[in-house]
Amino acid sequence: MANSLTEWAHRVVILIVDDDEGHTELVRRNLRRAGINNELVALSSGSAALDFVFARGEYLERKGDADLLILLDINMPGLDGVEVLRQIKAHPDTRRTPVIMLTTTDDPREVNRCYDLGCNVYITKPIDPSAFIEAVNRLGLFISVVTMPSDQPRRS
Amino acid sequence: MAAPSDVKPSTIPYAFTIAAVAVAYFAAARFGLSLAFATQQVTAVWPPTGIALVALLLLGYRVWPAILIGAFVANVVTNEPLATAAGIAVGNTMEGLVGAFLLRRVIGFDNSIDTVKNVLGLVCLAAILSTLVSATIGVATLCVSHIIPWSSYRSVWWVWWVGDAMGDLVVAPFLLAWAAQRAVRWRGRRLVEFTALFTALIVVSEVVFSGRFLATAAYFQLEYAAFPFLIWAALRFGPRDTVSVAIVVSSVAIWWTVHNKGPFAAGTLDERLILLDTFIAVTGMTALLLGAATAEREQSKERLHRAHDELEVRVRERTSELAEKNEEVQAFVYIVSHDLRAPLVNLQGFSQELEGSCKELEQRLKFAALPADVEHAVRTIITDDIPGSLRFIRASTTKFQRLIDALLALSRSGRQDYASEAVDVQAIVNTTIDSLRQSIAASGARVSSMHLPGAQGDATAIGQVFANLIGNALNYLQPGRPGVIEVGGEMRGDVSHYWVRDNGSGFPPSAQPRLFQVFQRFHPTLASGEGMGLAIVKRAVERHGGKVSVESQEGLGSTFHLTLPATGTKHG
Repeated sequence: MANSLTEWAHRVVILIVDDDEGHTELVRRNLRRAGINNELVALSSGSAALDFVFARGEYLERKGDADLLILLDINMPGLDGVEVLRQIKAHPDTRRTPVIMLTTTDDPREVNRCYDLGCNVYITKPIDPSAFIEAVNRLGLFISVVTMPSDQPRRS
Repeated sequence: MAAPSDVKPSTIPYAFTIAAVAVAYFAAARFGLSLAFATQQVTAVWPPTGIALVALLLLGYRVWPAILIGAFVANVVTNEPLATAAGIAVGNTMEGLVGAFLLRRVIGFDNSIDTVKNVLGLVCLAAILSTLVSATIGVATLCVSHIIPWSSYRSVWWVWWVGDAMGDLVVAPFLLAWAAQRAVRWRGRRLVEFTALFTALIVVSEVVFSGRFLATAAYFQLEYAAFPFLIWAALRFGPRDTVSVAIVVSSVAIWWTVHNKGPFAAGTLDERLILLDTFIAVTGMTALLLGAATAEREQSKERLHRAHDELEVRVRERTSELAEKNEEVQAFVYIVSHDLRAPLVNLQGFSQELEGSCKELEQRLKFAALPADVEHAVRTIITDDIPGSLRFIRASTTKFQRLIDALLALSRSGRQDYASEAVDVQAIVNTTIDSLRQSIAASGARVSSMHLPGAQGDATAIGQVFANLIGNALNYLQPGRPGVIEVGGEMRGDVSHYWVRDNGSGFPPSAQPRLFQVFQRFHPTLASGEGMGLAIVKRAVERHGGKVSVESQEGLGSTFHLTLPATGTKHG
């Protein structure tokens, strides 16, 4: 059980959405150094992120069965992170996908708005590597715990 | 039959106009003669003079043939010889032309009787001056034709002139007012009042001038009863209605005088004329001046109202523009400081990465087989040079970060919603002093507060204000002198006034105007900070509707004053 759970947790795809390449790169390095070797997809806009999550548009061919962990920047030109979060949490298929909001602001109003919309963790940049890794690990595990039962019939 | 196509379209209307004016002139002349004193064909008012003047003013000089024709026919019909009739007609026509010309040329008359200038022009230039022409030519024609002897010239001239003058004074304004003024229809209550005015006027005029209802000689004194109606019309309605009152009064007076009744039907014909025409002249001039002066006052009142309204609208516009600008500036500060953070995150993150890379390189170097001198050089680079550079980068990014945080805090202090509650300022200051206990102890200063009145506002913001002021005072104590910081306050009406006084290093006068601006630091060596504290104090106090000020003497200390609304009062 423990093995299959770990193995399964490794299949979680981590989606990073940030318009700043530097920020994406920093996250990527932090994850790699922490030994998290999950598949990593980096996108630079909110609309691309939604296309990816809902497997549409450019990502029509993506197999939608992989579980996602989303790292979402709030301030992006065009569709911003809050709106992306809202759409993900509003859709029944993606409602339970864990989302970590990454932002440069600690404005309490914005923080609360994100929690209201259902974000799981809120991290202020520049990220503290250890806290970040812990959050990712916890959420990755969390996914497997909550999604295993519903997936089990299909798997057995 | 269709008109020939080469007839100019204006030809027929012009002919019609001439005919209509001629007929009107003729009818007015007949009507005027019907009001003449039976024996001598003398009239107190000669209405055609007014009609001629108004026709020339409203329709232009080109209608002069109509006057000529109308006057000629009117005189022929009264059995004057053709030559005499022609002479009189020329005089009448010239009278109208001269009157219209003088009015246009001298005062730029615009056909209205709404201004004092216009009515004075009408009286002096038309009624008094232009009528000299007709009287002189007309009476001379009569003498030349031997209809009257030259010896009567002066007396006939006088009667002629006065009658024509009355035509310009009473009939012309009436026609001008009703023709030129846009149709003003009285409705509802105004209509009732209008009806009451003219009904009462007619009744009173009848009573006064017919003499039928008053058997005694007292009615001789009653002409002045007409004046309240003039004043009523002038104050409540306008010039048009005022001159209408005058014409009604004059008509009734003439009618009964001609019929040997009323206050003016006494004495010789000359006496009657003098009495009647004086009354008509006074009535007419009173009506004109009263109406015009009242109208002018109304106009200026209206202009004042409009100006006032416009001013208010402009003030409102400016205020909302300013509020908008202010919001824009705050949004700008917020966005800028926010956007500045993104590159800063990269600077911080990647300098951290570089530091890690250096450490890793150092580890690897231990196992690398390099010539000793090369190894030494590389080691110096990765243990001294790069980390040294990184230290400067880090120090700068940290500073950068603090500035941005301070800016964001300031912009947030302008955006936060404030509560409006009763705040126990004394308790807040006590808490603040408590929380600063450590730095107070470290500075060796004595901090006291007493008798602070309450305030109306946001407890958190007010706490921040005092924390910043006391913190500032602690930071800028004069080295080598035991610090004394005193927080005081008192009520002044519905304003609570507070001060924070210290015996610290103070500020030079030149620094004081900039003290409350952002990023101002005057003693960078004494304390660290971003120069935001006082800017935040100012913003918070002003958002409460209060004021901040400072008195300071360099080397002796500073006193910061601030006001807040007293408990229970409202503030913006």
